[in-house]
Amino acid sequence: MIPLLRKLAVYVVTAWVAITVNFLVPRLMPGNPIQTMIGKLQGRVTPEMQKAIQLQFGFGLHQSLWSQYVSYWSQLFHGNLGQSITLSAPVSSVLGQTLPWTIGLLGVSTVISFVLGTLLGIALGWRRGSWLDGLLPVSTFFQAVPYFFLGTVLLLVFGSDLHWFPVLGNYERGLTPGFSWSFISSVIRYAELPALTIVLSSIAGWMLGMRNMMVTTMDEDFVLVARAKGLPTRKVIGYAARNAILPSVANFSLAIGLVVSGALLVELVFNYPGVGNLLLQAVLNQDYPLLQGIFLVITLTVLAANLIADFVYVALDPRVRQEA
Amino acid sequence: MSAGQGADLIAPVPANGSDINQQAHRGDPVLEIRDLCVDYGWGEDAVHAVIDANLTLRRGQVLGLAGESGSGKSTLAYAATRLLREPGVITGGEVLFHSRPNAQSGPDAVTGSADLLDLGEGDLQRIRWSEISVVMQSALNALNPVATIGHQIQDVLKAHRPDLNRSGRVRRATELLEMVGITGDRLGSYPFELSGGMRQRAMIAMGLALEPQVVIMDEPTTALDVVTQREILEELVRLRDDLGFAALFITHDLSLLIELADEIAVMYAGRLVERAGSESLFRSPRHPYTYGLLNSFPPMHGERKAMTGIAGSPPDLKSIPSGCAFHPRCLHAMDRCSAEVPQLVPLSHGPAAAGRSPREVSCWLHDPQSPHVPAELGQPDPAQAGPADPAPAPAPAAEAAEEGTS
Amino acid sequence: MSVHADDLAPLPAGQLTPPVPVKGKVTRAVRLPRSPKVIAGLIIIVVFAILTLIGPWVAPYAPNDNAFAPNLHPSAMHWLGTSNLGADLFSQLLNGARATMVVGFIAGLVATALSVIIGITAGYLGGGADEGLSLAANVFLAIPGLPLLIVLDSYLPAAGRSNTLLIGVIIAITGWAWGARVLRAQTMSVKRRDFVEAARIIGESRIRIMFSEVLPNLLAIVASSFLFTMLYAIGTYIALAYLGVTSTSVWNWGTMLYWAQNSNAPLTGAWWWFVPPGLCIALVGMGLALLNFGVDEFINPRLRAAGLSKKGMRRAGLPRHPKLGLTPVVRNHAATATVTAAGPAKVAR
Repeated sequence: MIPLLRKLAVYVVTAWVAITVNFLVPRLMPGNPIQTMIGKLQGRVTPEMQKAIQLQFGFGLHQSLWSQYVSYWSQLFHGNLGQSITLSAPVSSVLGQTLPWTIGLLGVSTVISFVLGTLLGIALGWRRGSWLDGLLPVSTFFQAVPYFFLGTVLLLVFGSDLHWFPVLGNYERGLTPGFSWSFISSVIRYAELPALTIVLSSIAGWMLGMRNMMVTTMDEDFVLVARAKGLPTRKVIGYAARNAILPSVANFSLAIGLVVSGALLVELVFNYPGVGNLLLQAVLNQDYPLLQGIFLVITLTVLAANLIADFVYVALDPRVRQEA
Repeated sequence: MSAGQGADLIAPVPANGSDINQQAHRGDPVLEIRDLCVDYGWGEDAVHAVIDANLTLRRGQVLGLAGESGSGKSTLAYAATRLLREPGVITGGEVLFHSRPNAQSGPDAVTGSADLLDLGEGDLQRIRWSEISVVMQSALNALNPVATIGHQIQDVLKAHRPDLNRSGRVRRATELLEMVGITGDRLGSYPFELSGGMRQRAMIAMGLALEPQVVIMDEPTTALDVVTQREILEELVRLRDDLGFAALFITHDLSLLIELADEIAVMYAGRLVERAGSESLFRSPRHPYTYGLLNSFPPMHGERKAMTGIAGSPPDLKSIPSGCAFHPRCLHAMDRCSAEVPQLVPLSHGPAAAGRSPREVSCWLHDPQSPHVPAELGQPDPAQAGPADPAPAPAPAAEAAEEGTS
Repeated sequence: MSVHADDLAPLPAGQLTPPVPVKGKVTRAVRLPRSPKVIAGLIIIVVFAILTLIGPWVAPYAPNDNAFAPNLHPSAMHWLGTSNLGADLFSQLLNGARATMVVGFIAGLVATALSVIIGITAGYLGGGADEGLSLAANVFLAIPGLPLLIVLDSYLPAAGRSNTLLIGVIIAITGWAWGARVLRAQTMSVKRRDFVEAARIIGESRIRIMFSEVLPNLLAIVASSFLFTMLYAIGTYIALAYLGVTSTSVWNWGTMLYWAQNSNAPLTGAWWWFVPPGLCIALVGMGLALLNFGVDEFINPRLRAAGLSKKGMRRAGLPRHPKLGLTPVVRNHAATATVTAAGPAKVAR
């Protein structure tokens, strides 16, 4: 379990770095952005709000950087991410409402994309030179198109023009959220096009990676031996794929960061009320407390996803379990 | 692909309670390679890796295939079993497999003769491992790194022995490991948890799981240290005696073959240049290349000799010299050698021992028109000493073989 | 914008065969396989590089010159129509190439330099230095780049946000870790080779060994790392511009998309506004990815679609990549061949 502990240590350090960046950047940036913000807000915010901002950014408190840092941490431990200026609500509660939508959309489409891309990659690697190779240039194209641009085109063609999918939003207006079939099916209908965008954009990475590893692995003796053993073809492919998938899982951490970044922008295109949309509002209104809260929550979510991937990796590779 | 294809050649017969006496067939051909040609690539750039190879592997015998790396010995073996990777293409010949399944072969067993080059995917899949298995040079690479040894042995049983249930498979796998001297509790070990010698033993156990009639061994001991190498070889000889499989043993180490093999074929630049009983080949090599090879490895036993080796290096298969490919390195090369390709032909003198082919050589020096045969290539052949008196065998392997043929 | 998972493989021995040792000579390391993919990639990149240089000069109008009628459809006068404010969109597209490519190039350059220095140092020195540098790389790999950049750039003063050089450098800070990790792994394998040992015994300095003995052997990986980072940087820059985090008055393709989105161009069907910049981004991305394919195949020759040569193969009925464990049999070379790989056929004798 030593490798997992090492990974965990890396993630703890990463979380610490993210929090410290959050703390330091507003304090060290030239031009005093927080002062500018407070200046702009003069008269538009309540005194409590002003106090909350001062507390979070240490502005005008005349405390040492260190004691600011300590109180910043204690705020975090109490689950206090500050007050959103534009929404006049605690950042934590705003995020609590939006995060589930993002995690649902992103989680499901990432799983679909990973599974489908891996299966296609296995097929491409196994049957090199077949008609499936035609997928390679197509997928390179989808890989190169920015997520949000692809989303825009899909929205225009399949949503606005053909009306195959509902557009904009997360469920039909007028429905009451709850565990009713009409609500859940509406949620699924509204998520289809954004999910399709994310899957189309991210699938090529998994597919090409898996294909390349498959081609490399098939050159290994043990795959030939599997053939020589007279095992059924599906089993031979299994021998190769089981080994070829390891790097895909090991590199999940890098890929997930890119997928999350892309998917946040897809939310903008579809006006999906997730964290990405919130992020845009925070940027446009220079709502720094909200912006920082979003950054922190996204980072922690990605770290959690990484940790899950690491557990899967350890379960898949006996050699890692052995390392001490 | 088409499982039914070749059904007229190979008909599955239930082998339950089959009591075919394999001893009776010892010495019969089990794998006949005829005029096999193998290219790498296709069209004008194709490289001829094996040219007109003829070999007969006999039941219960070890046939050694020797040559330097790049001589085409592994290509020959892998092509014969249709395991050669791209860009390998078999461009001619046939590989006849004469199957006589034994009791262990299971219900999947096939009987009769078939040309492996004519078989479809389905038939190959049935014959593979159940009748012809492979042991490779590096067990570390040949074993699936993320599956346990037990799992990999049981995969074989699952595919070929549907009559065995789970506990039957575990029992058989344990039995197999113990047969090669590994305790049964190693069933749950991964390849990386075993030592090099143990891994190769496990690989051998797996190769013998279905008691195949033919085992192809591609330098199975090359990656091991000398002590382990010796242990594994002794193990192999014992197993061959117990189980009676025929082995095609590929190695660059001719001295190792002298002790292990019944017959030895020597390959050079894609062609077989000499084939003879191992004792005959050792005592009285007929081809200058064989002579050179014998003098480049220290013998495991016997008197010390000065190692002379062979001048020059093996040719690039892309540009094989004209005539006899060995002539640029040959001390006895004549004009004819660079002009005409010598064929592998039986040497004129003496009948062959029962269950053996007459010794063959492809060298113009031994042509009837040849002016003379150099003294070192004309040593008396111990096999010719007396028709009913085969040469005294120095190694246990050879003795075992004699029992079978007498 | 996604990544080839295998680029980051843990690199078990033999999986990624580094090129033959090169000393002094780099000719071998930069000779790419001449596949159609690489040539296509090269052409695309060269065309856009030229556009980067001459784009603003050849543009018919100034990009923010709102002198024309708004919302014009494409015409001979305005190839891509005009914006809702009456600016020529084709001129914006031509002008936008420069900032986009420059940011990508600078970020690629800076990030690659960082990853070379950090990766080779960590891999060569090992021990505590390696632990520390690897930790830094892993932390930067785990933090999602775009959200971090949004936070950093949001706090920049207005002058900073329109400074393409600065934006490029900031993007590089989030983009070096991947290359560093791959280079570290390769350095560790190169460092065990004889010629490095020899240099050490002679007593050459560490810096000299790292950068004149080890580095030349990693050039292919450095190139791959550069191409990948440039791809990442362009995608990220476009995304930042689209979000409006960078200055919306600096013309790049992301800014065009930002204004198109803000004027509801996608919903009014003004495809000539948002499709061209999107396609340009995709083309540049494809060009870089195709070049990277070539480098990948150079690094890992097993990916090269060597197979059998095409000549006469189809005539003989040979598959380009025969099934594993089913070596094709083609008897009777010259004339009609019998192939038992596809469908076994009896050979008449």
